[in-house]
Amino acid sequence: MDQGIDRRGADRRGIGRRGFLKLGFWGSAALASGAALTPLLTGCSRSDTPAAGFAHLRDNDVSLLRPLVKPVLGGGLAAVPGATADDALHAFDRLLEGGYAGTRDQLFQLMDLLQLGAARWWLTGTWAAFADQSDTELAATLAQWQSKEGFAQLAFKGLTQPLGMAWYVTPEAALSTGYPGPPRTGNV
Amino acid sequence: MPDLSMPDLSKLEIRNIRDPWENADQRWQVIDGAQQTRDRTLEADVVIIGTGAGGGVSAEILSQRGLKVILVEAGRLRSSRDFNLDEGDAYRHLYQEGALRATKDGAITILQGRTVGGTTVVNWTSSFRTPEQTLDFWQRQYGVQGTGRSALNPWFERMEKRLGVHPWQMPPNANNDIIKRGCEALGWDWSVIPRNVSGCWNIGYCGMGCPTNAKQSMLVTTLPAAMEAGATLIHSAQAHRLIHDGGKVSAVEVRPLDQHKQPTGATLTLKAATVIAAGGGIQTPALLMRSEAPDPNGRVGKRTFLHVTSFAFGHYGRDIAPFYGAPQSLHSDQFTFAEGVAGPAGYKLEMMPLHPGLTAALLGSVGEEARQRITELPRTAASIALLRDGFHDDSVGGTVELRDNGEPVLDYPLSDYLLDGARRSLHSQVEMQFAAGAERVRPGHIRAPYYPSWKAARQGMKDLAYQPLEVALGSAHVMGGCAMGEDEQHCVVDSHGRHRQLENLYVFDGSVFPTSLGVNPQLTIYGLSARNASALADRLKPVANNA
Repeated sequence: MDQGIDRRGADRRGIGRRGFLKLGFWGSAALASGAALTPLLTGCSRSDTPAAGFAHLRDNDVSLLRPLVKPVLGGGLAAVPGATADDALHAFDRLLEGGYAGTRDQLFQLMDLLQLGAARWWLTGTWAAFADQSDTELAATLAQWQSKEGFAQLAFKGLTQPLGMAWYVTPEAALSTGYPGPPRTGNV
Repeated sequence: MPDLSMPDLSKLEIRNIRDPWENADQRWQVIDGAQQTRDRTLEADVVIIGTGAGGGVSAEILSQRGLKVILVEAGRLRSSRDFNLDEGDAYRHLYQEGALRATKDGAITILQGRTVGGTTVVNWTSSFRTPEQTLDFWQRQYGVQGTGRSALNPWFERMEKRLGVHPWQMPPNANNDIIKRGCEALGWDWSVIPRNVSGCWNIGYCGMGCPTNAKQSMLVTTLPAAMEAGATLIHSAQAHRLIHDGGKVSAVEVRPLDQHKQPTGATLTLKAATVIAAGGGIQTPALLMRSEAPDPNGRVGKRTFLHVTSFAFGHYGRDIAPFYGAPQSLHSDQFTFAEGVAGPAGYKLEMMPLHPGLTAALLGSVGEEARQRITELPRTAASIALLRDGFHDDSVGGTVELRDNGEPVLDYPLSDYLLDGARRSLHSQVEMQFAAGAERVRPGHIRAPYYPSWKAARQGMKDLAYQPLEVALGSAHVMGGCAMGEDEQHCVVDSHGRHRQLENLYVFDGSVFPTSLGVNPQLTIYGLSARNASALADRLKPVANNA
């Protein structure tokens, strides 16, 4: 019952692996599509300073991600009594602590890209800033983004996967899955 | 009322475990890189870079021969007194890139250890001898000498004895029992996995650092033995480059790292007559590349293999508790060599443990769908298929590259050959899980739903595109990149791990494999390293005596 490898997806999105490699990672993607628009659309310069209370995420990242947390985690945030979107962002920040600087830079580039309306339209299908969308609108935006292929899919995975992972490694969120928790060691 | 059928180990107390590293600073020579702020030069007979399977075994053998050994490890020293079974802490402290490592295009997630003891501290303890088909292939295709199964068997026996490797005696957990149920129903091969444990509590936290020291990782076996024999351990210190003249290495330049993995600014210079690179796949090739080591045929970092791994998730009408119990105890070789050693990609079937964080990442999706999937965790089982890569012309593996800042990154293009293997391996896993009694099964593919029957799954899976980023893929086995063998065009080191151009440099780790293995790699690394380090000790000892 072998069906062979389906290559239609690659053709449809018009960006096969070869094209992707030529494009490079987020950085080159920003150059190709968004960077020329940067001064026109935002006029803001890229900052490398972490936001107050964070080791890695910058102010712009925190404002970008904060409205996304609840729709990305679904009921996962509400399942932990008293938890706020910023708790999840701090968990995200701690997850990034383990990563290579080069890997974090790629994530920052993606988040810089998502500050641009044109890039949001290209990647997620909507121009509106995440902060200007209601939770219902954001859920629809995420569904649309998730259904895309190629580069947009990579961006979707690059942002939402670590956010989900970061949240569910926190002991409180872990317990909300039905996991009873680890044995007690007395170690910290 | 709690559901009494659900195992709950959260009340279990683990206390008073003997930690071989207790008071280590007072008994042994341990240097913490985080405290090194001034340049220093140290000397030894042998410098070993990396403390995992290859470095640990080599350190024990060479130290016990009376050679002065310095071990260098990028990770911080952590032992059972530090292991708190917190998933996030484990990734942050014990894994390469905090478990965020992935191939260059993001298509394959890579779990690899980074701590004193290397991946042996976080692996799931499966200990297989190298398949004969693989060893024969190396001999035929790469002219590897002296690695026939009968030549290696004494080394496997020695390491099995040293590390307590035995087929698992206790019943499998419900997750691993899927292999038995599914394979028996289908008439497929299955058997019990040999594990390197001694007095295992069967709790299921092998991947977070064993809190009871039952796992016979390098951290509790060869490394303490080497320290006892006079070795020096420098942890939190990254080997940045080898200093050499094109024919010989004179020293290793090491950058001590602070608590945040940032260089302290100091440089440690380690001088030795012999240097062993044992950083494992990705790290060892990256070191050679940063060092601009001679590489006349451009082979360093090429043919890096992953046992590219696909996943399938089954839902059962009862608790599976995939987070508890020995994580891997049964496996199936039904498809490992079914199409011959060099035919369409073969794959080994195993199970993997599921803890909430990694599971959330693997299951993917967002919103209510993601929440629904993760809250079904207690009744979810996860099978995996390890694809044998490197045995076919269309499976050339990946290439290690360096970022501008010297960090390595693996470019691993997924060929049609491997994607076809992923597709077939998903079919097998889904079929096995339905045969084992799953109510619903979902192949690890972003477009796939949970299918309600094998019939529906078989039909539905025909419409999936088997493409990078669409198929969920991971790896916990990085191999190759410094191939061994007698073929000078293709091999970075000879059949005994000696570098072809730098005469006093040896590579004793999984990066010397000319292909992947078809089994979890730790025992192959132990056996080969024991053989190679013993031969090296035989050569060096007279030199050391005269010095």
